Amino acid sequence: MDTARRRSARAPAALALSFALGLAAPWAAALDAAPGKVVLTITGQVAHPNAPDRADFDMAMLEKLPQHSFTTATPWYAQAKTFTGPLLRDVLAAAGARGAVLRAVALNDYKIEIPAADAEAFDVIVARLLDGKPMAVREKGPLFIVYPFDSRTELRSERYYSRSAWQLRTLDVR
Amino acid sequence: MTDLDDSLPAPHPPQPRRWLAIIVTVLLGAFATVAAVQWRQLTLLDAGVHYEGDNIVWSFFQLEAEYLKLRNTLRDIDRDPGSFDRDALQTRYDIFVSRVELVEPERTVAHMETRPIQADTLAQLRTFVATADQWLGPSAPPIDLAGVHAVLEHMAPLGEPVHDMAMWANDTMAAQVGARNALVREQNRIGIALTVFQSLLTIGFAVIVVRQLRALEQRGTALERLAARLQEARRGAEAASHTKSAFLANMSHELRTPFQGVLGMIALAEDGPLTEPQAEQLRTARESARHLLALLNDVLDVSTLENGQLKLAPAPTALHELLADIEALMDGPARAKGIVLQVRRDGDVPAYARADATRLKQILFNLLGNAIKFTDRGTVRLDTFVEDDLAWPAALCFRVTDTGIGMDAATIGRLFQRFSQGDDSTSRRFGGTGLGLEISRSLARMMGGDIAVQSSPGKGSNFTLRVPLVSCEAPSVAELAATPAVPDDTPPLRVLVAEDHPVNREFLRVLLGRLGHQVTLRENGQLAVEAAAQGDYDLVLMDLHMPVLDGLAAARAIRALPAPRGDVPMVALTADAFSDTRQRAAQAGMNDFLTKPVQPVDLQRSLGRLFGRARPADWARASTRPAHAAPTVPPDNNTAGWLDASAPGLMFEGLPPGTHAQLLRVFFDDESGSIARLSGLLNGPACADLRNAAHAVRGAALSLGLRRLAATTGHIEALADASSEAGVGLLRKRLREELLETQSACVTAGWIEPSRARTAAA
Repeated sequence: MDTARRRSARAPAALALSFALGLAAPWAAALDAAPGKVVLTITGQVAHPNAPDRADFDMAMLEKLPQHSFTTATPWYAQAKTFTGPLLRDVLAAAGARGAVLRAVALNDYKIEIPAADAEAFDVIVARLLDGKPMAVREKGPLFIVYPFDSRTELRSERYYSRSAWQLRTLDVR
Repeated sequence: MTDLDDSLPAPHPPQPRRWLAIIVTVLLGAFATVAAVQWRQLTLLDAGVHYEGDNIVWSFFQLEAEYLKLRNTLRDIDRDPGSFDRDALQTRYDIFVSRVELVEPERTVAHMETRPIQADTLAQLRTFVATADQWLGPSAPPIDLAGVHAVLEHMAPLGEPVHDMAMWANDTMAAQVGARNALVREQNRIGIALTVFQSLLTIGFAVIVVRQLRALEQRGTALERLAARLQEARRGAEAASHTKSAFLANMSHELRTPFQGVLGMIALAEDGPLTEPQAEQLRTARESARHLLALLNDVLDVSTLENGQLKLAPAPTALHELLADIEALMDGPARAKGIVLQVRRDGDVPAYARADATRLKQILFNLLGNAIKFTDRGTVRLDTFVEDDLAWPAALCFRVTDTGIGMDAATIGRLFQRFSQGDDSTSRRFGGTGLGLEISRSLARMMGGDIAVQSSPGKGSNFTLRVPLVSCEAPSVAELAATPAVPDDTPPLRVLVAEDHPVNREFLRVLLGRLGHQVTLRENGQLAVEAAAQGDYDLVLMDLHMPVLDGLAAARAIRALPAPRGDVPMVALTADAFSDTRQRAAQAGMNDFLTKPVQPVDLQRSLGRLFGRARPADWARASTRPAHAAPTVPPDNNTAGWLDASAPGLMFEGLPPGTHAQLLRVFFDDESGSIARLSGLLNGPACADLRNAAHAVRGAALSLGLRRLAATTGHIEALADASSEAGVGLLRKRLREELLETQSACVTAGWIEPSRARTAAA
């Protein structure tokens, strides 16, 4: 059932994303090369690569994007935690990414497919701070895709928990 | 009644209702149980979601996987230092450390019980991390190959516990999932069972409801049938009651005629030479017969009232004359008991009012008769007055007050009930039928009024009759106004009148002539038939009692004539108004029926019925003087018993002045010889001729308002009817005396000139 729903949502979502990413992002024109240690790589259909066939981000580049913050309960922590970082859709826009599916890959090679529409429908962030502090790898860092679980009931389900990839390293846009 | 009861279904046993209650209760219980089961299932699913939140077992295996990856990486570096990538090792180590906290009891305790194996392994892991952090921790100096080796050394013994812990977690969770699945299966089974149970209950419920509905329907049908049967029974009862009333009416009517004969005979016997005991016996016989006759009359009235056949005929009534009549009639009985009768009326009692004079008189006679009967000393008073309260329509009131024995409340309560009298002793003492007051009250109520009583024992009583006062003009004018107008161009009718008495003949001639009709007179039935056979007439007025050929036979003879003469409309004239007489007239082919004395208004109405026109315009022209302009001098008490004061006003209204006086002259002069004929026949035995002769004189006397003569000749008629052989001759003397008395009464009343005071009978 999940598959069917995902498939049905895919086509219009791709269209919406292409519009949003192509037209609405003022900083999307160019992407400078990452001077620091690369923490996030976006591959696949990337319009503004800053490396061969990919867009690399160091922590400073992510920090420069508009930052968002929310506190939510998660299955991974006993208490609610505050997450801070750029919106996923801003990150994708910065890379000029166009596609229907994002394939997220974590440091430990955990792989999960995220419909690109999620980035539009929800204020999904690429968290870089947990309770205001940078996350070490042993603390599921340095980057953590977090959905605002507490804002909608439908988000508090296995489908979205599994899309919240932590120790995020790569997004493959297809 | 038994069969009616049987048709109703037995009252429903209370069992289905109890069953219904039980089923509803159980159904509610089932609903509650289902709700509880569903809620539990929902809770279980919620737990499942949490469990899914992050697969716990997956976390354990991840930890093992990361452990193995880190160990392999360390071993690779240890064997081949050339492949030493410090950053990669650091990341690998950090990932491994990050996995440790995911299997901490604080995360897993919600899903599985913490066992020593988990706690021990975690303690070992934490010890290892603390040790390894000397080389790979956040503040450690960059690790060298010796460090790698040391970490590897510390790490090696963890392989088995980590694997065992993963296996343990897997087994535990598998067991839990199995248990949960079993629970869900159990829940489902319970749910299905409950649903089946619920369905059965619902079906049972439906069955009971359907049964109840069907029972209700049957009961409804039964009730309908019962209602129909009751209706039928009521119709039957009503028909039976009606038949009984009709039988009573007929019987009492049939009994009256022979009783008239009995009374006549007694009267004759009393005139003879009698010994004292004989006179006493005859007096008792007469009283008994009178009582019986009164009873018959009352029974006749009650049965016609019950039949609903009694119809009031309100007409303009001269109230003052009516009161004078009553006084005249009741004065005798009152005097006989030594009581004073006072009749008074207030000044505002109108001269005329619409009322059924006959029935009004009947009520007042009854009330006054009772008052006189129950009063031994003192006064009986009739007060007439008008009650004109603003809140109510004006009422005409007649109050009869006596100084008699009076009544207590209980007696008053029973007063208007059938066959009830004061009490048994009064009944024995005073006699009476016990129907009079019931009839009076029924009549009063038919008139839209009522009778009220006030009395206390020993202090006399008063009865008040109240009827709505409907004032009206003098009679004929009002009557005429009510008659529909007819075209003036109506040709006058040719009327054949068959009437044996010259006074009546003359009266009808004048009356019809005045109406503009052409009149032919015949003295008996035979002559009338001959005239009808030879001439063309539009109407025949036929007296029923005539010598040679009576009216019924003559009517049949005329109907036997060839058309169109055999089809001429005929109206019967007779002094008796019994319904069987009416019926016989109709059977003989008569078209209408008029009661003697024939009143102009009645004749006019009859003509209206037969020809659809009553020529009221002629009447209006003829009535140039007020209706009561005929001799209106109220007759004093001496004449009232002899004369009917209202007769001239009613009978001769519209006729030329002096008609009444002229007809009286014709009567007293006996121009027809009918009085002489009757007088002669009274010497012989009773026979049909005597009867007819008496009838003829009676008809004339009625028309002229000669009350006493009409009564006496009626008496003779009844005797002749009863074929009484004995001593009709005795009545001859009385007839002669009464003729003289009547004549002098007419002079006193101003009806005739004194010079006319002579009679053939004298």
